[in-house]
Amino acid sequence: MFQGSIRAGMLPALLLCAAGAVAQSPVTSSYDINLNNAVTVNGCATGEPVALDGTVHIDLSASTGGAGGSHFTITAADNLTGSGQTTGTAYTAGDSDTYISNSDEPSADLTVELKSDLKSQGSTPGLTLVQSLHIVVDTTGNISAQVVGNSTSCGS
Amino acid sequence: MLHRKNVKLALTFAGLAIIMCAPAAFGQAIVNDTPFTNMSVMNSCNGDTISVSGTFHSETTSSTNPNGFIHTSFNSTLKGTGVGVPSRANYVVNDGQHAEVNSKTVAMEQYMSTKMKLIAQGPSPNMTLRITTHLVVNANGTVKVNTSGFQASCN
Repeated sequence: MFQGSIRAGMLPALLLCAAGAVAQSPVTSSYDINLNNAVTVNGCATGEPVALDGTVHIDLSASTGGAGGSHFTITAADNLTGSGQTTGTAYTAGDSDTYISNSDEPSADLTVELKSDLKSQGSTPGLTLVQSLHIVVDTTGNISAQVVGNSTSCGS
Repeated sequence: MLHRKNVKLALTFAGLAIIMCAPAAFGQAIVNDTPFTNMSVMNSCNGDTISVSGTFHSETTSSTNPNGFIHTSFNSTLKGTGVGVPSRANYVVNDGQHAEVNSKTVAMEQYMSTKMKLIAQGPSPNMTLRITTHLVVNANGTVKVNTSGFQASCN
């Protein structure tokens, strides 16, 4: 009976340890922003509209910080093609940036910039594409995002 | 996910000194200009060592949204010039970064990576500077900004 009591006492302790380990494991999720004919403007010289297609992929790792707050690591990576609507110039873009947010809150609401080289596949000079991404992480670690703005400048 | 041709990374200068700004009235921008001199950047495409001098400018503003959340807006600009040795080419950086945060409290800590262009004046290849900006706002609204993790790659 005494041995049974010890085993019974150990079981809740083991469960508490396991729960603690799970709580500290990062929660990961991802989200894809699909762009279909999203128009930006060649802000370098011509003012030509450039239609963008492809994906901005968002990866999230959420965990509890050392002081008990939230630690979010977010990576945004784009894989895009573009088409100049006047010249027919083809463009490609593929780049990534990382953002880390630490706070006392269990959620996050950020607007960040993802800069990419928009490489011309022709004689037209390349561009730098700047996309503003509004990223929201809810209290359960789910992530959603959207492109809320874009612009281009000379050079890639 | 990261597609770059001919990436040659060169560890460049250490982060800019921490900028500490006293809290301003809510809604007012906390502005700081930090000059830097002779920050060394290596262009591994042509062997240039570039000594860059200029200013790191940051503005942080917090306000209250109609829903009661605190909206913080961060803008920074890195402006500088340098001369490459041995090419004697002139280089210019004039690029910025923008971020916004909606939160229930003013205290926050953000690390934001970005890319800025170091443009060569002439036939020398341009460079891309990868920078991490560390923004900390404490509960009193005091702002700390520093940059680190500079990595340069030539285009």
